[in-house]
Amino acid sequence: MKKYKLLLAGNSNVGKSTLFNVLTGLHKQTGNYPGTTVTKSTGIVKLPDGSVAEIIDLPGTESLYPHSADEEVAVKELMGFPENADAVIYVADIDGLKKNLLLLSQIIDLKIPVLLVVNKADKMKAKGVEIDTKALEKHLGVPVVMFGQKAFNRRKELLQILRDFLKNPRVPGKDFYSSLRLNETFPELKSINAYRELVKAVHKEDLPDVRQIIKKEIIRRYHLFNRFFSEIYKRQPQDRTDLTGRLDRVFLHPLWGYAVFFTLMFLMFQSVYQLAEYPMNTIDALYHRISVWLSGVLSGNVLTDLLINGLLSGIFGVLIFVPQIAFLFLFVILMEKTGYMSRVVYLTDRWLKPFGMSGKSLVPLISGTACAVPAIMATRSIETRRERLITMLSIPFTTCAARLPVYTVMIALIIPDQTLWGFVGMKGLTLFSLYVLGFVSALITGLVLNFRMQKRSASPLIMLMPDYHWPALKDWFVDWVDKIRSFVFGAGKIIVAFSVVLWFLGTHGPKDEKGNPKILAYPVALETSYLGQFGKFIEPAFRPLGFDWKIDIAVLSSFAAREIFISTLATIYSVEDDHPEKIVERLRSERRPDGTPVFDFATGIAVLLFYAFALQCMSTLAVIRQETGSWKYALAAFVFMTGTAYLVALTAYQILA
Amino acid sequence: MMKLTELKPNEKALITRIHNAPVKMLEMGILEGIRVQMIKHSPLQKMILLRANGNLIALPQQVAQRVVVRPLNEDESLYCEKVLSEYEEI
Repeated sequence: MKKYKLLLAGNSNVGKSTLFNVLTGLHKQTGNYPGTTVTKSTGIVKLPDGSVAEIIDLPGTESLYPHSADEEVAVKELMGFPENADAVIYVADIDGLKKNLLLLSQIIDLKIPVLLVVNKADKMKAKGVEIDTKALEKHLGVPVVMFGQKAFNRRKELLQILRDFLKNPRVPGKDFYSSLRLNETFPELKSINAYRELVKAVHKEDLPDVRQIIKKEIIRRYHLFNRFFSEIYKRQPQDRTDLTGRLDRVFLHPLWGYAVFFTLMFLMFQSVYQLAEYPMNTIDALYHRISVWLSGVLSGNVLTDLLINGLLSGIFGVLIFVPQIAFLFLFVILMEKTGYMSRVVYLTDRWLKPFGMSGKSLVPLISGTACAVPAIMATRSIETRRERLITMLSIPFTTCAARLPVYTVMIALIIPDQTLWGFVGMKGLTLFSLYVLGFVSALITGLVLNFRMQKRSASPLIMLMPDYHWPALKDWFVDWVDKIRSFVFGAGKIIVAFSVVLWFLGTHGPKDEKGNPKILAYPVALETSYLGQFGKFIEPAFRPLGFDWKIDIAVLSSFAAREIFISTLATIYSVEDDHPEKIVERLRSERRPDGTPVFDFATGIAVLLFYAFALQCMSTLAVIRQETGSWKYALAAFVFMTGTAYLVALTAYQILA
Repeated sequence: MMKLTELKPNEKALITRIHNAPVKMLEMGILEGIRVQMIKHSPLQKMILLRANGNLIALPQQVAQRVVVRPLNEDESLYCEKVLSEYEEI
């Protein structure tokens, strides 16, 4: 049986992903286009006659002249025909049909077989729109399908249409390019007869005055559409009290708009931060149950240890993030699919531009205060690569929940229980300052990267605001499952691998218990393990920060997750009860050889600042790797953040000590 | 003749001239000869919101200032097809 390859193309915000979800359901895969940060969704569809079609959901683009890296990818795929695809499914919607014709007519001129799907057709009556599909087919020379919200029930019918189309995919019988008569206006185009050659020349910037040619082409295409558009499209004048208008009066209001947004953010934050805690505790308890049960039934050898403390702890370390990701994307997907996200961009873009970010960066930044992992995944909705990268690299600075245990213990240790002006508690003030520090450093990072990173010509925010629309439950569900799945099987693999390596380094050492040299001695105490040896080895480098080797080991092992810092200190100081108060008590009594406390004010501040800045989190690294498609940015973020942490902690300790 | 930014909310107008139009704006279908309706001014965000070709489109003020329009009264806006033909070939 033949395997077809189809490209799903269209402008942004036409409901392309909805059609994709209808066709492929849960059989979709998300990854990256090789060497880019652009998300690639592909899905396999089985057609009624048993043949198989692979569908690639291209990033939305307005024309064949891309403005961003994502659009570039879409255009490259379209220009790759016929080598990489058999045909295009083009998605348009009833509101912007004329605008949607621009890219469609360009694709037609590339001589690619196209099936046009007009989306949101179920809203035609409500909006007073009439579309004559026969006239549309006549003027475009391509088959047309109307499609609406109920399409999830019409999947079979759609597949049948798709199969009939693929059986005999015909190159559209229309040629708009010759009617544009561009070579009469621009003599340099005399030798260019096919539209494909023109697009290639424009991409290579082979022509003088490229922008004038592009502009003229677009204007003339619209003029061609005007000749027949009234024949195919009729819109009854509507009174302007439509739903979108009424909602926008609130959502875009200079005061209420922000109030609604921040209330929504507050709800989102609460659910990620607090509601997610219940399933997270369940997952944690489940891990403990399973590990206790396993160590009971299995003999206590190295394999059992690997299984429980390496593999299983890694797998549960992945699962523990699932509730947060699930809650965050509940909100994010809904904001995207209803059209509300465009309003957020409208309200906030101006304030985020100086930091190299877009209006879509605010939601991820705020959710970073709960956890960087889902927040970095949420940057997927940011269209331009540059803004997305800057947002991703800024997020890990915000104070995530995992820093909190470290902060509380250190603050309890070094900050006196005093109040300022009688009512401001010093401890609370310190914690608050650390949150502010996190947010400010995220913004400064954006500012610096915005200044340093190569910039394309600054494009003004010209944006289509889709009409509000409530997504089909299934459409929303498919995306939701996909997000969770891509984390578990993408970044999850890396987290499990890190976990096993950390387990190995923390349980194996170069010497056995009696001190005899032995390669891969097992089991050894943390202090004598490879990790412990490494902690001691790097002590000279961290001594200027006020860290002794015990703190170094705790820092190293907390790479698994920041909160492990505290439990590792508890292990090293053999505190039986891991209750925070007991640990604080024990740490307070710890002395240096000269009798001064190890955790004095200067060291405490240095630890706090180190944790505020350092990228001490393998899961964040893993998710940056997954989302950017290369280790390059993950490593750059690690070096940049941990380097900053080192310098800041060093400076603070040297001043305070 | 006035600038697009000078239109009042709900006012309809015909675009007569765009100085140095960004390609993205043309792609959105905002061209000389089309009819637009002002929806909202957002001075705080330095943006305007308008309806064109059935779409709701957000434009930065700075771009909208380069767009010259002729306000249309209710009667005229019914005959927009006729007005359009004047702009058939630019």
